[in-house]
Amino acid sequence: MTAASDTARDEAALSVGDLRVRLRARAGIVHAVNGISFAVRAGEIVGIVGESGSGKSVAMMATLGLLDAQIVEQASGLVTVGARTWRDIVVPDPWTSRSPELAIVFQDAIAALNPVLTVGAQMTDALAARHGLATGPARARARELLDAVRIADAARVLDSYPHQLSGGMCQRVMIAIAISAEPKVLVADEPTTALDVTVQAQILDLLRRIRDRTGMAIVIISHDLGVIARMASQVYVMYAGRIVESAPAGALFADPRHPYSRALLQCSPRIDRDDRASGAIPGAPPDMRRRRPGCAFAPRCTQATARCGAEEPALIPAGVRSVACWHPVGGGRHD
Amino acid sequence: MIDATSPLSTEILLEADSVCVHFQAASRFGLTRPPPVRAVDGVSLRLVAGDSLAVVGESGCGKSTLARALAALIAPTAGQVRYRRRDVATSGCHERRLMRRAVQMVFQNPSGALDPRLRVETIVREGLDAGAIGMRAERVARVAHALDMVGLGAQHARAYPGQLSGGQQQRVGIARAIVMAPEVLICDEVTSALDVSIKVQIVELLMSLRDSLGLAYLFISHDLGIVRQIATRVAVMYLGQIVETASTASFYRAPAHPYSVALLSAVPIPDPAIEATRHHIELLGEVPSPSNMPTGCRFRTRCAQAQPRCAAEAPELRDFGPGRAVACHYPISASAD
Repeated sequence: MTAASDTARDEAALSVGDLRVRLRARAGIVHAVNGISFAVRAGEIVGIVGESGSGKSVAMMATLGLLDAQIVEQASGLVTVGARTWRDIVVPDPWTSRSPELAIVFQDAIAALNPVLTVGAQMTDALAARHGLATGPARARARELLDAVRIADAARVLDSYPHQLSGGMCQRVMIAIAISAEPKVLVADEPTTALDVTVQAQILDLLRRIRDRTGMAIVIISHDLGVIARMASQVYVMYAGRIVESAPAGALFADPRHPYSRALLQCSPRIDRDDRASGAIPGAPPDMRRRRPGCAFAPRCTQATARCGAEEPALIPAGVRSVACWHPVGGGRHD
Repeated sequence: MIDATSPLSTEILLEADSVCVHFQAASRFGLTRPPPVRAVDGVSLRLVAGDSLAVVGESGCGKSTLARALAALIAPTAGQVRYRRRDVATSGCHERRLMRRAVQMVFQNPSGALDPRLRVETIVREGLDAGAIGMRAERVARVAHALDMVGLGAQHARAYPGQLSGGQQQRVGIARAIVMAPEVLICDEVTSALDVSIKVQIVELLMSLRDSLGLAYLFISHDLGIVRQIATRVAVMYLGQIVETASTASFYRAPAHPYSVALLSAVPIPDPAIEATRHHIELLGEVPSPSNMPTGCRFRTRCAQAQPRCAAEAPELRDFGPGRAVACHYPISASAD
């Protein structure tokens, strides 16, 4: 299924241990990421799902060493890529920090590109800086990369400014830049959220093809369970800066055990079913400036008991999955 | 042009009759005028009492421009928008004022649509104040009632928009619309900016308001999952035109226009078992510019089924089975319909 060899598949391409990030905001200290660990193997696509403010993007920025030191109150954790391990989450020069092993593609591709430079100039700059290529070879390599992301008229796109291209085309360019250094892991942070659904399908298909061809691992972050179902083989569900459930995609979607995962799945509207998505999750996500004791989901949870409000449940492995809940639901099907 | 978007019910509230909205860019050095952007290009549809019509399509298809024309926020370049069978453009000042009250709009970005320096109660009351509707005490009571209907309390009334969450802000946007006692609510991507758990809360609110207030809805949306839950009928737009209209049930069961088929096949389903076996139709190329349309059928440049006829002759929206109309020379028949 993947180009990666068996041995490469077994070892983690990226592993993150006990990542914690507190950020300084105008209104106080935000406990954005509160101890998460995850791993992705070569050739694997891992999905991280969660709503706004769940900490999924901050966790990825921290993993890549891209957090702005100005706003970080405290950050700790362990990031391992292949044989290299980083203990400093905040780094002075993000540009050189974790590349070329890790690369990231952001949600808003048009904003991520420089509006006053042509696509070609931006791509050749990066190639020249990183690989010391001269202008001619850098441009040739840029064309190759645009071909790799299935842009038909690469020459025209190289001479275009970002505003002359569609959102989908800009996202292809971003992916081309991200894979230019042949990273081991590509992090895609809501890569299709700003795109139309037919363009989203094209971009997701492209990411899959790149994985198949290169054996690159992909971490895809999304709030859309449909995107996660289409792409990921392993899924982490985040809530309030923690992973509340992790499981192989099949198990998670067939039988979510954490009440939050279950509620999220139930309230996701589907095009293949008539029944009204049942039961909106009452209330709103917690204020991340205040850490309350107990489970962060307890105030919105229908099964919450006194214990849930007092003690924070740890992420406990059970079979192929792990759940952080005192009263996991479901279990109709054994893993 | 046949309009299959109308059920047999008699009470037509809002109607678009061959509406065109073209935007003309300024001429270059007074010499040549660039071709106009044909955002909406001959759209006819009807909204009857109690109806929920969803206009779906991708960015740039003209659905928001259509919504603005229907809400009389912009004047159509050609064609008519009629409210209760009266042309909005030629009706008198008084009639137009009544129409504006009866047709209210809720916008996509709730934080951008609310004045950050006004308290929620003032925002919701603005329409009543502007129209000098009732005594002040009565207006205050109507505002409190509207806030109560959308699930906000007295503590929210005194708050500023910035102190509310996105879902609460959208509730304020809805309260501001229903306080005018409208017959029609035009909802332009009202759930797009919200998280999925909050989205469903807003959908449930809109459904309960439909039942309690007897509202007719026009939803503008690109979210086909939400549309399946809230709409009774669907109209698909592509490059300024409606390419298919059908009842929600038959549309999702068996879309007939090749674009509708591609659109539905692109939407991911939150079930990996289904996703693994689904056939995705990849559309060719990109959406053409609305100022430089292809000849014939506008979708033909991206359509896998396109024939020579499609380039020569633009397909009209024609009846295709009960309650359905399709603008395609070669519509896809349902296998078991």
